[in-house]
Amino acid sequence: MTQFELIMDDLRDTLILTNDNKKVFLPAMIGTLISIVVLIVLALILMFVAISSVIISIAAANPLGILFSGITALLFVLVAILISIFLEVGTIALVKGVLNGEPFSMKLFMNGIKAFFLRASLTCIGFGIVLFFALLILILPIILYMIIVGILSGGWGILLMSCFFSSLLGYWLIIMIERDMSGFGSIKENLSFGFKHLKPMIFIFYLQAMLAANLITAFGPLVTFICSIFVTAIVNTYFKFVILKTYRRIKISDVN
Amino acid sequence: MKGQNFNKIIKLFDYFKQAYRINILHKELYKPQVMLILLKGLFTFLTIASFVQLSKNMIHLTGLDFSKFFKVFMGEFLGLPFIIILGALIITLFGSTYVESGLYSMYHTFVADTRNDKDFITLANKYFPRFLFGNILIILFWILAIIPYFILGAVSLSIGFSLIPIIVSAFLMVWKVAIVSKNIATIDAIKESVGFCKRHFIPSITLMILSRGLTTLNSGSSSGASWQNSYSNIGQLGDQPSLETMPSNGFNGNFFDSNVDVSRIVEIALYASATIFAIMTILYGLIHMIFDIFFGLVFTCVYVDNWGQRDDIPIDDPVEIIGGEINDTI
Repeated sequence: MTQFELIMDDLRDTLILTNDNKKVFLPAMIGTLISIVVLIVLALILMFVAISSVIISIAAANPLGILFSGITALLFVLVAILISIFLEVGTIALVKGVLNGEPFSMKLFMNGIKAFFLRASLTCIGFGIVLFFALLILILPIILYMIIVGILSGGWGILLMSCFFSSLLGYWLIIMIERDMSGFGSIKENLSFGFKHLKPMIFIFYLQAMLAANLITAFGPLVTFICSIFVTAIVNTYFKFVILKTYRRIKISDVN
Repeated sequence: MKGQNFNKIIKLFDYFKQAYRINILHKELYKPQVMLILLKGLFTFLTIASFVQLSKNMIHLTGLDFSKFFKVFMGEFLGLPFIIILGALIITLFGSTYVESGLYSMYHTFVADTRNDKDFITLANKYFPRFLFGNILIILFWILAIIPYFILGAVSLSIGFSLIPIIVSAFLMVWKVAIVSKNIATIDAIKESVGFCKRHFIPSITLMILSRGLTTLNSGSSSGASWQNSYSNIGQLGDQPSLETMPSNGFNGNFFDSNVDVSRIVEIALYASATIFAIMTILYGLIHMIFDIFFGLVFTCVYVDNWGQRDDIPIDDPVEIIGGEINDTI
């Protein structure tokens, strides 16, 4: 059986599994809803702080006000990142539990967070710094690629590039929670696994990107505008199952 | 999801696997399409190159006076070039349909595993008229339906803008497969396709949404008419009208003597963009060829297997009444 057929089997089994356990989508949906509300509130606070501090600093001829609003903006970004890590860690722990056959319960979610939240956050921050410097070096070839290949291939080249990077660095969190590894260990594992099995993983991420973007557009621009965030959350949760399943399956066949 | 519909959707994965296996085993599926795509690329380059030549000669005649340029351009254009471009569109339509008719008969051969000694050309010739008739019918239908489509789309809170083309495409999903598989006329095949979709409505719509979602890059809310997808990259054949024989007056000659470098650079840039457009057409065609062949195979598998149902094909035979009594089963 080729990888394509095995991936089709994974997709089908996940569809059956999630259809029986529709509640697995709840944390992602509620989390998305909460994060939207929280971010709107934070954005309002940020605007208020920014405007008032600019006014104060002009009135008092004191530049510290601008610094204050800058710090608030940074805090805003930090909170957004922490919320998303919270949701991701919990959902992956939940996905792992349901895949192992345990019934759905919020305990799986909370246990995952207790065990992995700190590790994940520290890794995110560290890896983010590494990525920032890597981007400074890589930004020129990436832009060149995007212009030449992107225009010639009408956008498919850019999709390919993003799937390529996702297949190398897109699921270290899943690996970390699945095998209880350290942060940078799981990133290394992600890189080595990704290089060894590029084609199946690129295919999976291609499916995820296309489905998350296009499934809801079938219902028109208005429905897309309202529901796309939720559909994206559902599709991403579904593909967490698929990636975990594929990872386990390929890992087993690698060892043999 | 309701049981029966869900089971049919689950069958989709098996059809994808089947289509993939056939794809791998029979690479000759790609030969006709690749030739067509290369032709289209060549046509695109020739058209744009000929337009560049046309414009260059226009500029020599009329200077950079834009309104005069446009009038002479349209005058020249509406003559020979327009007819040639219209002819090229028709040739592309015929060519694509011919290749399509051959391909669908190949799909059916591979899926239903019928031993067929006839080759591509014979099969394509056999089904080509019906395919052409059907494609023209559908194009006409969409031309007539544009206004009701927009009205319905706006009324349905813009849901209709995307959903209506998808539903129409779903009803027309298997008419080509039906022609090849049952050797029936075009109208009957379209009726068969509509009936097939009615019997398996939700799975067909799901398949249509999936096929559109996995193959289009623009998050298109208004894309999805099946004829658009088939003919969206129509290559254009252009023939360069010979204008070098027309006299150019002295003023323009002086103007361009001093600016000859600029016009050369513009000309080179336009030729470069013509090449880029040709490459884009070829790449776009190649990528969509892979999707078209894959989903053509999937539709064939779906139709031949009837979504895994064995007993819901409508029977045309009249029911025999035995002893004057009919038992009504609930």
